[in-house]
Amino acid sequence: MKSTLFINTRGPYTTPAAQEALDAALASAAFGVPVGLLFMGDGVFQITDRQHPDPAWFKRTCAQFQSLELYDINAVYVRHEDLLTRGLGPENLAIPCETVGDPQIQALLARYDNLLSF
Amino acid sequence: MNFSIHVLCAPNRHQSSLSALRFCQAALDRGHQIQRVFFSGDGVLTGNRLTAAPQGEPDWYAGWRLLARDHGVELVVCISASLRRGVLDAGEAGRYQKDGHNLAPEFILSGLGQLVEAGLECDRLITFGA
Repeated sequence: MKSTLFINTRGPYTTPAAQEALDAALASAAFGVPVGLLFMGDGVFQITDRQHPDPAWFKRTCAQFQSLELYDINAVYVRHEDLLTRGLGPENLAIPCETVGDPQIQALLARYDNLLSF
Repeated sequence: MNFSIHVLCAPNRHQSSLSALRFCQAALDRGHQIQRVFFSGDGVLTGNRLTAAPQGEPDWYAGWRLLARDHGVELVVCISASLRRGVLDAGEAGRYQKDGHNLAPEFILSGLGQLVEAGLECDRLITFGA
């Protein structure tokens, strides 16, 4: 079975990209596809804790990411430098994930069969 | 080679929609296959049949419809992204009690499973407009 890495590069509430990437990742997992998630750039904000969007207008993306384990999605990566440049650290993240540097990201891009960026 | 294409941007909004269309045409011209084009995100707006290009401006929407008509390429728009953006076929318009529908006849509304399947079956799945 081919594997897919979903690359999340946008902030959580400015566009529907975060929601649509998550929908696609869960659909893939439901088909038995081995799924990985990589958060980089402003995409790192998608998984920060203490998000308080107005519930009248937005769903909390970080709450939805907590359902990943139900779908057996355990391969979650976040680009370390993008956390640092935004004043964040692993302690600010709402879900368990592995912080990675560029050499590891290169290895991820090489290892997964399909790459989908959102 | 057997390609599938994933388009995330609307025509006229970003050059990558045109890049995707021209990639498809070039691949077909060279004897490759385009198994499916899957539109999600703002890309689903490509399926809107009610757009009208001003005189003298190129019609990017028509280019996609011709690709389906001339080469039989399957054009699939993501149903959840389409419903969010007001792109409906007759069936969905009935289901949600809307007074009109606007999906061009060359397009099919379907689920994300079509994108997953394309990624599994094709030699290459290429995304435009992330």
